[in-house]
Amino acid sequence: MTDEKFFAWLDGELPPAEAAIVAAQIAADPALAAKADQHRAFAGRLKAAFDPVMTTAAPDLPNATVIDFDTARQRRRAWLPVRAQWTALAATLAVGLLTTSLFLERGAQPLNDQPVMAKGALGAALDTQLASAQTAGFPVRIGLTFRGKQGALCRSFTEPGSSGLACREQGGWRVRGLFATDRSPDAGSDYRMAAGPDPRLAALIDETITGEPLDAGAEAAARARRWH
Amino acid sequence: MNFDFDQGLAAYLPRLRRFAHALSRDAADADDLTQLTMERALRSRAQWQPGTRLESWLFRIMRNLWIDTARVRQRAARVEAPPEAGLNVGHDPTAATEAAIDLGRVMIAMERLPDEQREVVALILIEGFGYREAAELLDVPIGTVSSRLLRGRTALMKLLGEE
Repeated sequence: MTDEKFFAWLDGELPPAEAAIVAAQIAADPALAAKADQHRAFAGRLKAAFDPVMTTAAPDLPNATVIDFDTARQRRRAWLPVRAQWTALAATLAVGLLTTSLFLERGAQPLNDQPVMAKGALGAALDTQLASAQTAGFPVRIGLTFRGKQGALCRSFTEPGSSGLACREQGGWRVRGLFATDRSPDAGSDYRMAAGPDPRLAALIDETITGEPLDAGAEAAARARRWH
Repeated sequence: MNFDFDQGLAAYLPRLRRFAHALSRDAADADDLTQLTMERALRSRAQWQPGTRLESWLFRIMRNLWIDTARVRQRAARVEAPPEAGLNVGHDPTAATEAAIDLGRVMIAMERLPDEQREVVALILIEGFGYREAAELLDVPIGTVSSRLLRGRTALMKLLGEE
């Protein structure tokens, strides 16, 4: 048996009829059977060696910086020290968001003006969660709900690793700013506490808000109107 | 609508990052390659045909970017000492057959494979592509894939002291 055929069988690449013949040959030959076991085990461990890459987030950088696309576009700065914890962000946000931060970091052109919409857990939380009735253990926490100067409802939120502001647009939640949480060791492990009132988020809310934030009753009524 | 594209990109990001680690000499290079790939994918999103496999398209982008940087990497390799630390070269009778293999050791060993063997090992043994998919992704005949894989996996086993 050629090595090519042996490995094609091992990798499940042979058609069923041929695979059956090869399997019988290998089963009948202790040396080949041992070789098959050895290579199968090796392939398993080789793949397993990469498991940490799949289960851990990309390395954090100590300094979190604002990812405010509108401001970034206005400034058109060549380089911004932006790097979010992009693997974590990918879980909750549209990829456009995380890669926009990568664009900014690399000094390439920021993405065009397409809106970055909240999706996944964040989108669901913005749609359904009330600040007055936070679900214990749910990763996203809603802060303020208020009417923006352009008339749309906006909601601030905190999730592990970041906090931000999203406003209603085209039937979804457009992320207007996202701020990576400082995850330095002394910031503690409780994101909700560590996030606190981020001054950059507070400034963005200040810029956006008109009137007073909605109280619990108005928030619930807004949800019932599907945030119109 | 870019809904599928965005979701697909997010879904494949962990695997792309793993592929980058399999190709790169260290974690920093791997994350750079991942970033470049995401940038390129977004810039080229209009070229992706909905209905075709986003997975192959993304892996091909990463692989081509990696090839593009090959010359730079080879120059760097001549200047810098090869990272030998921890590499178990040759036969070691005490090498635990059951023990997990450390990622750092694997990356060092993978780095020593010729590029054309490394990419095939990464695509098939680590990423789980079939021979035909790998052949299409790399634009080589399937027989070439199978012989490169044979040489690559055998060499890698030796480098990791498992033979």
